Amino acid sequence: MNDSRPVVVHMEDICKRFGAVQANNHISLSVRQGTVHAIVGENGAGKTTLMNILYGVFPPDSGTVTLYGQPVRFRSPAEALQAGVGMVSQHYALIPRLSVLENLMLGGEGASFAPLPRAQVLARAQELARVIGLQADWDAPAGTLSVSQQQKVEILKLLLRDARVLIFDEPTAVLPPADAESFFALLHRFTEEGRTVLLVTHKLQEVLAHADEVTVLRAGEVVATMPVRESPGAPPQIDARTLARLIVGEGGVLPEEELLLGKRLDDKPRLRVEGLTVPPIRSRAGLKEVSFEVYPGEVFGIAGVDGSGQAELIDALVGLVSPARGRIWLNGEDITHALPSVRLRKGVRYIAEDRHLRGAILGWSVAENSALGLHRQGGFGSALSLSFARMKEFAQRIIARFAVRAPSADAPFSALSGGNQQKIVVGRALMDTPALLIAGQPTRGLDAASTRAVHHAIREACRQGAAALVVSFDLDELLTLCDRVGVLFDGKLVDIVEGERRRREEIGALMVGAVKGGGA
Amino acid sequence: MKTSWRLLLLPVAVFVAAVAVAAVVIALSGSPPLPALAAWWEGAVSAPGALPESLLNATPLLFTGLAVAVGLLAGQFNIGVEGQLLMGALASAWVGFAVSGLPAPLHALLALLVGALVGGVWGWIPGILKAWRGAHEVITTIMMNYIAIYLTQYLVTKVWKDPNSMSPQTPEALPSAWLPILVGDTRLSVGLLLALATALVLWYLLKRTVWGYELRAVGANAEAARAAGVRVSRVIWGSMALSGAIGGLAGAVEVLGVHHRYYDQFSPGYGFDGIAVALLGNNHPLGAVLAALVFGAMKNGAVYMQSVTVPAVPREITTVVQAVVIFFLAAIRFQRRSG
Repeated sequence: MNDSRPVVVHMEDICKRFGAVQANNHISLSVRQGTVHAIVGENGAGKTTLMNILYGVFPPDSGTVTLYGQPVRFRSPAEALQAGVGMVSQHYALIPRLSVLENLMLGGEGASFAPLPRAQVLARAQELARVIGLQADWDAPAGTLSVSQQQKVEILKLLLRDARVLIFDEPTAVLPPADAESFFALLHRFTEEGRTVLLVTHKLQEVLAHADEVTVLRAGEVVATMPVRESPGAPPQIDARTLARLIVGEGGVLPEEELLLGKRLDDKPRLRVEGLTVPPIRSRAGLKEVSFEVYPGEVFGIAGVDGSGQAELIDALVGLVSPARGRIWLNGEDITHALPSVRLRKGVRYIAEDRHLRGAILGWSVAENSALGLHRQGGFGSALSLSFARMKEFAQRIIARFAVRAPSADAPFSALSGGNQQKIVVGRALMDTPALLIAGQPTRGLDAASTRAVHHAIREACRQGAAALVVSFDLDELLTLCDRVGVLFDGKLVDIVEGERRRREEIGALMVGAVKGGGA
Repeated sequence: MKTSWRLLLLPVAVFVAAVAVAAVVIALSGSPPLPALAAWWEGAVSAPGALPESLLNATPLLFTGLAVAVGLLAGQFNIGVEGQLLMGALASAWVGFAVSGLPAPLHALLALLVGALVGGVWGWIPGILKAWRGAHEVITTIMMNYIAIYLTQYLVTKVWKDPNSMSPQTPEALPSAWLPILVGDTRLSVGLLLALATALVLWYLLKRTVWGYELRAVGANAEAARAAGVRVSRVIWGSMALSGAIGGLAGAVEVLGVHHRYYDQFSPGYGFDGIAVALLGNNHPLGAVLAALVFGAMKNGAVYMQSVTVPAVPREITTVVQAVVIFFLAAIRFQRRSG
């Protein structure tokens, strides 16, 4: 390790407690200039908390933060940005209705009634956009951009403020593989310019491929800090297994290799979709004439670049939107226009792709959330006497089966870490074998052990007779979990790959519109 | 139950702070604040006959507080409780004087029912406008208030005016429609019990039924509720109709229990007071009971305070307390959300 590089960020003896959870317990961390420093650990290990402290989102209970040798105490992200520390969170912080340019100006407006520095910002933004490879309509609402474009706008925002220390929390969780590669090329560019990168991630391959140093957190404490490579570009000195061992600790569960493929349990399709056409809602593509079938016992994956029609497909299957054309059958019964509640009664379960928006109610307890959507199924008493005791019992079963780290079933849902919240949402859908599972990015933001648990639970449900449709932007997830993978491109289902063609390259090419069959 | 005590702490602290602000205002107006506060307390609680009168004052506040709270829990800010109250009050007054031949309890029950029904319709209209067309309920309920104010005024001066009186008021309701008096020699009627029962029923509905669970889900995260199979638009108009019905009941109980007729401008803004009651009661039906008792007693005590203080402290000082309560609680909630 080139120890001559000065320490830019030094966090010393940081403690932070949320209610009963000690999120950070005497954590110390040193990050050297011009390096990519990865922070890894399971859900709830304290990674995001530590980064939020560095970014001034909340203060530590005790401990100090030093930046370029100067002690600092940020009271807000604005102060952190002022000092050159910027963060791109897991949930992007753009305001969807404001234009790209307005989002860029946000936070740097100057005096209240001074004219907005539109021209200057635009000029600098265009210059920086060329550098990071962002092509965007500056006047388009930010919400209409694709996920990777939004991420680039966030990065641009930090560069405009000339952030020297860049924090990324799970930056590739929702990026398609090609975009993830260009993201890392950008990171290396930043470090060459002398910027410093903190990278929070679950993907160990990313750490091995791109980080210079890594710090492993477990249960709020530092387990190890070590160099990953001698110098930038050199091969890694550690392997994924070592890292995984450190992350889960003695007796922990290691990540999976590949799940055994499922067997069709019946020749009659559980779900049949024909000519499904949905006008665009959340993407630009909409859904165009999509037809496929999913059989009991099988996991059917949907691959595609974000915004290729996944949102419309999910909404139509769950019943949140009425398709313009086409039909949907569940067990041979037409449910094209059935209400969500009717589909729920028929055994359709939904894991929402955005748990904060759709999957849960943050202000409620874990127990109340675990009944959401199942509350009319009779498991929690009758319509006129809803039993909180049974909700609690059900929540405790989810907590036990999915090893959720929750203080209790009565705890507020928002007190759980992101990964543990997701486990509740997933567990709720899978506790009783569903007829049809519609899963939108079911393992988004989960660590290896939790991802494995979720995958196994989906597989197990399918062995018990469920059929599952999984939408994911993570090709590895689709390849691990799914028997067949349908690829969406521009709202059309361009191909369904299975057997020998179920390969990364094949799907990757189809995702970006390469001709069916692999010719270029 | 440690947490529920903690829930009480904030409203109590806010209330104490609001009274302190009122004391400062009293001092600025030239009256010595401590004797004024003592008189306030005396008039509200300890003077002979004060307590039943305080409870009488609390009754409409409890109804309107519950009406606002139901709306807020479903994510609907029903500012139209005042209009729903006026419509309900006039409708029950009409049943009281125009329908005859019914025995005592039935006549009163029918009048209450019609009052609730008309108030419910008055709340349902903005509800359905929101559910179907997305019209914001704050705007539409304010407009519905104006319609209610002028419509009742018209009816009570032109159509149903008491021929034996110069004032804009309806004829007196038949005694069979009057609510029985609860404590002899006071004006306190069984309306109080009705309000308390409404709070209990509402508490059960909200906390222990699928309907209440779905209502709270819509209020907390409508998108998540929709994904969980809740028919959101139904909940929106349903909650607005229920809120309106409780508002209508507030008016009916005032008419049948206290005045025995409808007269123009009988409500000093009970519907708007309900917003303060709901906020101070933390949107909880049982919290609303406590908040309504506190505000009702204050209103009552302020009348006495006005009569004994020199220079007189106007009884509108209660409005200051209410305003400061809303101000503080809104500020605290906003800060929590942005934090």
